[in-house]
Amino acid sequence: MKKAYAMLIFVLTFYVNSYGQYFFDVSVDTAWTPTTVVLPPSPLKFQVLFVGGSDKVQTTATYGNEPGEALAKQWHDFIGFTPDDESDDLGWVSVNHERINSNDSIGDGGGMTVFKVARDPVTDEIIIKEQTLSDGRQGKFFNVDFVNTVGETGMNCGGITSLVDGRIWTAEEWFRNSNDDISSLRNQDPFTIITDIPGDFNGSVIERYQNFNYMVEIDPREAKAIRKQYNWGRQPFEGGTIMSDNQTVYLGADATPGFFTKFIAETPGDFTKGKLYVYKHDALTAPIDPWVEIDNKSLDNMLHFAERALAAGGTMFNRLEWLTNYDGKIYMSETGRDGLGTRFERGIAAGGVLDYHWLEPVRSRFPQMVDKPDDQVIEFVKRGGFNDYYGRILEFDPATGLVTTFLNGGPFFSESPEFAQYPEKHLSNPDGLNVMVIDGKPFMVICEDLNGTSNGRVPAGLRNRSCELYLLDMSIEDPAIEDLTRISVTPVGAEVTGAQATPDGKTLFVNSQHPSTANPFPYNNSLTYAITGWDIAVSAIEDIEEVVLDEKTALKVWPNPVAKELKFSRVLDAAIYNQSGQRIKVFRGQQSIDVSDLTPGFYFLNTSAGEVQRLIIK
Amino acid sequence: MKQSYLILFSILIFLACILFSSFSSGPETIADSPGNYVKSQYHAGISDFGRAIHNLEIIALSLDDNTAAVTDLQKSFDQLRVSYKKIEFFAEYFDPEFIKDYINGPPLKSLERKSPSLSILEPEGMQVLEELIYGEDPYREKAAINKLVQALNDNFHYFKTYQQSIEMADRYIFEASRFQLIRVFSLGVTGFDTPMTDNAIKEASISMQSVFEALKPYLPLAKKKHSPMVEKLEKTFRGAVTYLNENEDFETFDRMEFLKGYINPLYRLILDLQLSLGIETYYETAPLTFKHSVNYLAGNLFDESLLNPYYYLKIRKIDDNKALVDLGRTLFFDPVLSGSNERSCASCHQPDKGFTDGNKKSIAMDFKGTVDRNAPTLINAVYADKYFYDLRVGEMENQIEHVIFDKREFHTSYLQMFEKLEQSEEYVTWFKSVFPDWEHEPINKNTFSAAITAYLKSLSGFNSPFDQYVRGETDELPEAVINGFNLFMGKAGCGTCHFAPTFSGLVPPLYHESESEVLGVTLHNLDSMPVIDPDVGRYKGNLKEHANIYKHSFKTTTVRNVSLTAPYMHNGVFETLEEVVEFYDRGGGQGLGLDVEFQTLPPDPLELTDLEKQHLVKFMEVLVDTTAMTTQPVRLPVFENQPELNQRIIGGIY
Repeated sequence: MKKAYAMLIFVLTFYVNSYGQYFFDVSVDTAWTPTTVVLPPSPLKFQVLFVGGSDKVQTTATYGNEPGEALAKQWHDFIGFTPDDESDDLGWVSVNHERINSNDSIGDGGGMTVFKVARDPVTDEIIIKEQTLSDGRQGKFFNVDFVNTVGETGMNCGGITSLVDGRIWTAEEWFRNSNDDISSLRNQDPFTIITDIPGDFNGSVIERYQNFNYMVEIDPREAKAIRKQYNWGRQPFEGGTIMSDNQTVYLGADATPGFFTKFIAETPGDFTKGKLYVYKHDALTAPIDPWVEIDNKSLDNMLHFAERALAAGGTMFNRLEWLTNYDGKIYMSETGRDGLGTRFERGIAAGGVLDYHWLEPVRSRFPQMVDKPDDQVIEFVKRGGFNDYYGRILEFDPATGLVTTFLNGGPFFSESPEFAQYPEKHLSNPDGLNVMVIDGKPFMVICEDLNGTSNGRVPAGLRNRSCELYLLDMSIEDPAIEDLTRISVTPVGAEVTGAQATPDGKTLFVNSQHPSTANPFPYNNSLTYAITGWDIAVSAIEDIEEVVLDEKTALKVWPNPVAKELKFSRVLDAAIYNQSGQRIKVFRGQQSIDVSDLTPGFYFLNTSAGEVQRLIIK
Repeated sequence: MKQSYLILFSILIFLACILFSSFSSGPETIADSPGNYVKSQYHAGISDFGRAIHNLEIIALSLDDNTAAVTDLQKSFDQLRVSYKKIEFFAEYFDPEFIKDYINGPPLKSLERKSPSLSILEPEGMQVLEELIYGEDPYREKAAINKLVQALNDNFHYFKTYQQSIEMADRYIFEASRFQLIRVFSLGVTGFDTPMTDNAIKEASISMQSVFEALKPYLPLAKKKHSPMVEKLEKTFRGAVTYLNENEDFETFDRMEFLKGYINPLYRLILDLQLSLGIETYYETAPLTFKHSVNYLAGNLFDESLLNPYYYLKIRKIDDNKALVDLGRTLFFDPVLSGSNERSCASCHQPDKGFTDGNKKSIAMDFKGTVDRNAPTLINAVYADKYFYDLRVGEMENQIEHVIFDKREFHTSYLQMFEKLEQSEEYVTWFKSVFPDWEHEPINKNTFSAAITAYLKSLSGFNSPFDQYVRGETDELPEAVINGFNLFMGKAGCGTCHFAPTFSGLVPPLYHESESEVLGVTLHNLDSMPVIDPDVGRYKGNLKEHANIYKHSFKTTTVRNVSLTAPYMHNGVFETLEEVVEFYDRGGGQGLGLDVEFQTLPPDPLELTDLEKQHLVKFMEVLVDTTAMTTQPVRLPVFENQPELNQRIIGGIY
């Protein structure tokens, strides 16, 4: 098989070198006699559930306004899911809004919206339920009240869905260093903490800005915030995960250096009491315990968590985003950063340390580093020599205490790949991370959020950010980029985020955040959509992975009729012509293309090898 | 099938042999396609650039405190620039973000993109190096120079690795060439990326020559069928290079002649060549629904359709129609949108004043004082990626929102406004007819915003006497205006921030990004003691841009229609264009002796003569085009059950 592929590449390269690039006719005679292969269409169904700036949310009495209705906030990020065990409904969906808005009726700051969903027993589609909350609010979408419960919230980015019982925490992004950083909010008075968390928190008066940047638990059933988790530290949180013991919480901070922290509750399910630790890979205590405790009863420690973590010699990461766990192991996305500068150097000066997961990405990009001793490579990272464009997904195994690289972003080519081999799949700046179990099989769901467009994070000649959603079969050992299956591309310019599956493995909820304004309504707003049918689709995904590349057999094109993705049995240079023979699409070196932008009708596919197929777009 | 393909293949090989053997300066072996040949040339150019960085590094390391050593350093830097200009068109085309961040970005601090908290980056690359190497005392800056050259060398590693990994497609070569023409004209010969030297024209010559070289391998392929076009293209390229070489002086270089005689003709000819060869454009390789900012099929930099307004808006071209614009226009002039039923959008944006209001700052609700800033023109306002003087909003649709909620402006909310509009059966019917898909709830944020933005989009115009002259539609343009244009794009430095063709801060050649500048605008006019205006602008705009580098930073607005929009600047401090020119001529706030820490305008006087100042004003005054924009609705929809509302005045009472 490998050989056949190599041969194909050779043949294609030969075309490219000789005439393949000269050029598809601008228009052609349509008197062709094409063959049509019909294969079944995709079983996946798309549904738009919640549109920012368009759907109306029910509000509480805030800033002197009566309870009422307002247009929902935009900038959807994290999605939490809380199953409903008491009715036939599926459960509650919680959506973060990652944007500071000054707004009279729905509270300054980012915020959240919650709604309840059920599944149509016949079609499997998602239905949004009408609800009446105990505070009297009635409707479909509810604004989560932070202002009157725990104080204004920051930009709500990531969060935690407890896989144990569906409890939800939201993370407050954009670290604030002074009240000047909240100057757009109406209230900058000192804040008095009221909390049931033991320690010197309750009754303490802090600066207003210091009441931002916590993990905050909310109640999706009542659309109210419950508690800012002062005992987990004030950190630029993005994600976390709760283990099956309902006691252990792992947390990640989105900063450089960012720390990997662990909280262990005294009693399962009660997260007000427990101990907090920062990860330190080189902790010398025996047996090897890579965790150093930070006293979390001290308000001062919690307000200055990063300083304490550095002083404790904590291991430094480069922007940790989401965390998830499966089979006892913890996975976290380290999204990376263009240009580390002196951040690690300063961190080391304050006591921080770097671990060895850097060796692989550095050596794969810098051939001269391959034979250098490990410490020299780490020194190179320390002095900012490594531009971490693509990021990676890390794995933490509590059994060994080690953080290792699960999947590196990229790929990065040191030599020009052949045109046909140019990567169809490219993973950059992984952000949202979850595990979806479909028919008993675990898949990692990975959301991209590009930090930029340079260095191949978008195709050459295209300058708009386009973020993708990937599935990865977790049974694959030592996975690589080519093992990823792209399952959804959000509208142009958007960040795909929040991907969260229903426990039955049938539906994936996804957010498309701050999309380009160039998309049609509702795709020009931040929106939450549902992709249903995974239980049927997953076998289809596996089949597709196994399509054999063979230059000897005739070209196969499927499905046909096609609505969205058209696949080929080999890598093609081809053009699509409409019925009047006018060329409307040209693509090179592709094994699948998106045709959802074509108006339904008949078309012709003309390959550089002269094959012609009739296409039906439906 | 297989057999016929083989025959075809042989024929093509044969054809290729004939073509290439008759063309001496092209690819040397028949196995090479033009694309591969150009690629190999590009890779060679990248290596030359790397060597030039390396040479500069060696010289910078051993820099001594004497004139000869400094001259050597400057020579080495000039060689580096030359080697970069040879590859700039590809480097920028393939990875503009990397180039801006590390290779040839402005010598200014910037904010890190997508960072998790505020993070200010120091400038890197050749322009900040140029400031030091051509600065007062390069020897004193030796350490800084060495550090920057070292960083450039490190970044070159990433640059080379990525750029060489790109497989060349034919369309890239044509697209890169045409975008380079925009770059040469708007950023090159204006001196945008040569902050200290007068090498801009010389560098433009190298750029033009390199683009020509990259296109040469394609010429034989088109010659057979399109000989006159190919000959014209060759002649114009040669002419352009000669013209640049013979007119190297920055101050006297005639930009108008360069634009009309070379840039615009070539911009069209390269497109013609591409289309005649059947090489696809980005319309065929991107999704058909994708909105591109630059209309690739436009043949002139000042073509009315060069920029695609829909790129900047939520509405799509297929959604836009006269009915939508008419509805939007009526909403724009209807004071019922405001909480008091007395103010409309037109209260501060009046058609006869270029959609401004003639006030220093617009009047606030209930005539109690003013709002914070001067009302900007709405003509061509769609061509921006951020709105308001402080750039706090990213979409025009959300710009409107701030007016609706602001207590000093409309003092209402979306839902209140929609509820009120729903009281008018006439409005409901009208919305339903324009938006048949929204039968159940025709008046909502999406439909409302679509109508308003469609109207704002209709306020676009690039058809002033100046544009007509540039496009060759008329031969008449006063000499003073032409001089003024040459000053604007050259000696006076206006064009390095007010970019062609919008003459606003919308950055060429992709026109994706709006810029703001720190000018040090004063509180009072130039007759008074200079005091900086206390408005901190962008610093208090978007929370994520709360950085000291944006203190007193304001959006670079368009110069088009400026003769209609007095008074000027965010605070309306200057009554006349003459005053504005005077302010710039003196070097802004810093030039007036104020301490403006992050001023982006050079503090040095421009040393413009009185005549030059007059010509500059003459040029700006001619940039007027309000064709078909001043129509006002003749009546407003009726509120059947609220007769008091039917007394409201078109445009409101403000």
